Amino acid sequence: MKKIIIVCLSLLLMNISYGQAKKPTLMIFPSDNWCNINGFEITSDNQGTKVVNPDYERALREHTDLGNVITKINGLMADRGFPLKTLEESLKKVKQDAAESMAMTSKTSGSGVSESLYDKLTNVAKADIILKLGWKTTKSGFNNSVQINLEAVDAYTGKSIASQNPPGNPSATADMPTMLSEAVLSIIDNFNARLQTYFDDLFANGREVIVKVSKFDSWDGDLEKEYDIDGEKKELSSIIEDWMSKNTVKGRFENTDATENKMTFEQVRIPLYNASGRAIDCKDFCKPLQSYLQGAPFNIPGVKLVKKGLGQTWVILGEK
Amino acid sequence: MKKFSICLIVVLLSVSSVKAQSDPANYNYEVQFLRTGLEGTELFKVYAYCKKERDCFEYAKMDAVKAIVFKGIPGSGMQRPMVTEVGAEDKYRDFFKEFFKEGGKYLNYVAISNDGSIAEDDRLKVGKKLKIGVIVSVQKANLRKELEAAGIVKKLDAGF
Repeated sequence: MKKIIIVCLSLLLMNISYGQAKKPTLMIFPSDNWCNINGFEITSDNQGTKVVNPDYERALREHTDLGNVITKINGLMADRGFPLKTLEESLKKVKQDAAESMAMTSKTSGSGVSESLYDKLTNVAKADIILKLGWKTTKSGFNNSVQINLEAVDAYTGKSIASQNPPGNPSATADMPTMLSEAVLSIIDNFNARLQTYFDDLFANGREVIVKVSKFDSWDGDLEKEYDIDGEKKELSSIIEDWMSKNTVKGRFENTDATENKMTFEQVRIPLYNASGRAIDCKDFCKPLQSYLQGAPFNIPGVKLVKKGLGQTWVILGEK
Repeated sequence: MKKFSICLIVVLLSVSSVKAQSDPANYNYEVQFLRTGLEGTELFKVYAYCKKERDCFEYAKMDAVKAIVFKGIPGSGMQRPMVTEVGAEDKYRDFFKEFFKEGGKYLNYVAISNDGSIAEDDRLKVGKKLKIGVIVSVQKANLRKELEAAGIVKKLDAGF
């Protein structure tokens, strides 16, 4: 009897923990525009092409107000149940990983790492939502004012999901930290209201991702190859489209490109968690499609899944 | 007996006036955003309608909280109302009746600012009523926490 109770309680706890979606991780960056205006950029040479990237490390080290504003936003977001991943910690992690990463590069082709610092940071932090922060000060007569700009971007799709940049209150006496603090306080509720709308949409319609299907040249089949499904002849592209229709939330996706060699599905709404209640990303969503295509009657010799960022997966048919 | 009847009518009328004011669905007020104040507070000028000036101060406090909770205030940090659920006034009528009653809990989140002094331009006579502009500060962060605890406002991390 005791054992039965323990098993029941364990199942109940598992159900509670799996029944909740994974809380999105938020991370804050100074915006590219702010870094440019304030001179926190690094110019590097990539095979003859000049590449300009933000210098986050120097910005954090040298600009006291930036650290203060980030701390302020972090405190306010933590109050609402969303502590931010700190940029400083992620920068340290990236540095730690740098040596390993370089070793890996030399083992393979020896070519340079093409990832930007921004890509590395989002990869290390595994942030779902990126907050881009910036501000500008204006002087009018004796008055100064601060216009703060905070934008939330869905790291999966790169789409803007919330933004605020109202004109700040002019003041002749307040110092810069006070004005920045007031500016943050004046936008945070409206900003969170927009985030709430995004979360509501996420729960109702799923997460938005992109899935691309293509084929290896070595495979003799293509997306126009016909298969017999329940006595009906159908092209592989239609079969994949049917699968998407069945497995997306409310059948929502858009087939923006379809040829015999490739298909692109955009605005694909995937559930936040799978049938067993585990939080999933775009690659996890594509795994059942991989098994489906490798099985009868298709028996495609190999289906490779390539993760491209957080919200995009390439499904390549014919090899692994 | 006549005097008693008159007294009774006066008392009933004043009670019904307070009741009407505390009704969440009463939107007879104007709110103008002034600025973001200290941590979690906002300053508003509320134009309240009343017969006696001192009533206007009480109505202004109640109206400021109601505006944040049910209407949202353009130009402020609370452009959208805290309660976004359609029909929440009716659904949680008992809670709001208690919350906005005379001396109710709403008073914990609002205070008269500027020592209650009224500028001459903000004292108007509209018909038989006074229209007075009172500056009040609302502790929106604490107000939100109270409504979240009561299950009326959804937490930002609800569902995760």
